[in-house]
Amino acid sequence: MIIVTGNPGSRDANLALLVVGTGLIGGAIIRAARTTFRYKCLLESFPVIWKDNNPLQGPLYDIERLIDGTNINGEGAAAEGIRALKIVWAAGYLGFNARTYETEIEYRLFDNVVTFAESISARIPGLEVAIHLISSAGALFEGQRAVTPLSEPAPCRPYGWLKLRQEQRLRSSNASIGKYVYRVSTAYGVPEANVRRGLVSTLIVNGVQNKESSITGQPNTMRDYIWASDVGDFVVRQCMKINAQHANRVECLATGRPSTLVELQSIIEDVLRKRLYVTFLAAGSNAADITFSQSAIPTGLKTSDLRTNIATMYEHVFSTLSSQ
Amino acid sequence: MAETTLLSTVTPVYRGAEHLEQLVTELRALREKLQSSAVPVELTEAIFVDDSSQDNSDKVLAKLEAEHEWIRVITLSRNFGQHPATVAGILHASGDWIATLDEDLQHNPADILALLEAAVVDSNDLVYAQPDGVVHRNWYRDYASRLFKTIASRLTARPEVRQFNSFRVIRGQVARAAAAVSRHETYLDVALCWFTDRIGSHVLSLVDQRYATGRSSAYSLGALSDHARRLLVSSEVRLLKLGGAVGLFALVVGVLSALAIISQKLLWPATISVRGWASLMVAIVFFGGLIAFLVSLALEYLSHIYLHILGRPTYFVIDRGKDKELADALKTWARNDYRDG
Repeated sequence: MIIVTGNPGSRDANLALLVVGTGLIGGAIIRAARTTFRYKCLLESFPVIWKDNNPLQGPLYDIERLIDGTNINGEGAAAEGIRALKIVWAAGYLGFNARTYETEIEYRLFDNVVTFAESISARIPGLEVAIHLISSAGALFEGQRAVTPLSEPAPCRPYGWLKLRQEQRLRSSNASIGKYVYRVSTAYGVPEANVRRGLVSTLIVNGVQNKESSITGQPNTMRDYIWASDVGDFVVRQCMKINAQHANRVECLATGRPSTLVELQSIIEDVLRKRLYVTFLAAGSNAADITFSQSAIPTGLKTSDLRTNIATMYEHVFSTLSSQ
Repeated sequence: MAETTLLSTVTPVYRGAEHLEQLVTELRALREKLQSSAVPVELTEAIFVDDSSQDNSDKVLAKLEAEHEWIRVITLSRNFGQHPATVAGILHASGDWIATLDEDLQHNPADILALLEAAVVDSNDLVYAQPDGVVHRNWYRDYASRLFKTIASRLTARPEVRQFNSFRVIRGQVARAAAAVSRHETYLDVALCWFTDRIGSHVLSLVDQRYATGRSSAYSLGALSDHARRLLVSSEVRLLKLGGAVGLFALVVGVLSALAIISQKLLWPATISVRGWASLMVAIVFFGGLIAFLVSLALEYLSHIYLHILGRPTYFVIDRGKDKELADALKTWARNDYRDG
């Protein structure tokens, strides 16, 4: 969990951005906030320890004190004049194969954050509060093709039901809280340490190391791969909007350009200039196509080229492994 | 009830400003007909690839895309050619079946269902439209096209070359796989043949109105020649194997000739009056044959490397499980009503 606020004197000085979760997408949001909008970081890395009883209690207390004008050490006034608090929920340790009881933990923590937002919004009337929820288009629309803005989510497993419950919890929160839901398709990005690796980064890392990769799915399975930094840029731009306290938006963050695993493998082999050792496991659960119609993509979402991004990832992986 | 089959269309655009609106009208009519019928097929998207068009096609496409949410326009950074543009469109398509058709109304969208039916009835992965008569209404152009395809099919030992046509319906899995491995020199139809041999054809009335009436074509003679070259180069393995056979033959002839000359020199020396002729000829025929053979061997390895670079797969897995259901649905619809209006 990280808080960033605008530099004093800048137009963003009164805005605080709280990012819960610093994984692939959370990390991309932080980088976008820091580099694009020249935010400065006040509180560093509160890792969410999921096994704790209430892992967010301490950080949320610190945030509340910050907004009240007292710094985290309780010594004097620090960041005064916070007028808007944007909370981005990008946390999660579960994946598609999560079990129902595991989803309760994630749901409970998200509920804590929404409750916190409601309470601080009620306590400080002039404070504009918005919650930006990173949801999962893949989990919500599993098995659906050509998803449009009119498509209804139909989750097939506990992880998808968790995402739907989180969205419903957000929608049922106080009317004064701005509500933004981002249904992100299959995100991929430069693999970082301590961040769970996705399919694309696993294929690249294993490819560089000449290891076998096992993919649960079929070669023709279609997915929509979106670069995590593109998601981060878009989310931060939405966070920058002022007077958004009554907003209620749901956006599908995808490229509208489906890619099969065959194509992915072909591109990665081209970039690595070597064969990948890939095994496709015959479990049918991950073989469903999930694709999005162009009409589902929000205007203003800039998406970058898959091949170029894979080349970027390869350069990073290669230099990281070379330096070890 | 059969699961809905999603159909995508892909149209590369280079000089289509005059025809695009009409083409979209025809596609919309097909889409609405499918929506109102019991056939479990949905025309989910029409993809137009602007291949650095030379007329106002880009503006027309932008307008059409704004008017219809099921139309998608991909703009290429420069002119890459019809096949690369088609590959780009296919890689953006998510349909179970993909129909490719030209920009100039030579191909009637209403005929797509007939091609699709021809595909699923026989579980083909690829069906080409075959013209029932002359296409360009110019004897020279049509004859040259047929002659080239005949020669190419002989040189490449691919009888299916005669069927190649830009109006085709392709199983989505095959189309996307072939497009994924295609390079800038790959002839798309050759790449499709790497993934399937279930190829059919269906006779349709195809007339290139643009050429037949105005004698203008999107393709200059140079472009057509380049097209032909790409077809042969993509199928190069046959030519290289021919080179290999020639090299081996040259070696065998060289060795036998050398033996014959040596035998003649030893057994009938008087028949060779010029000093040094025998040894010179033996050297020439033997080493000449050996060099030809080594070059052909190198070409054989080169062909394997080239095919690897072109993207030819070792194998490919396909799922044709839903064909029968769709074929039955299409046949029922055809019997009942679909050809009216």
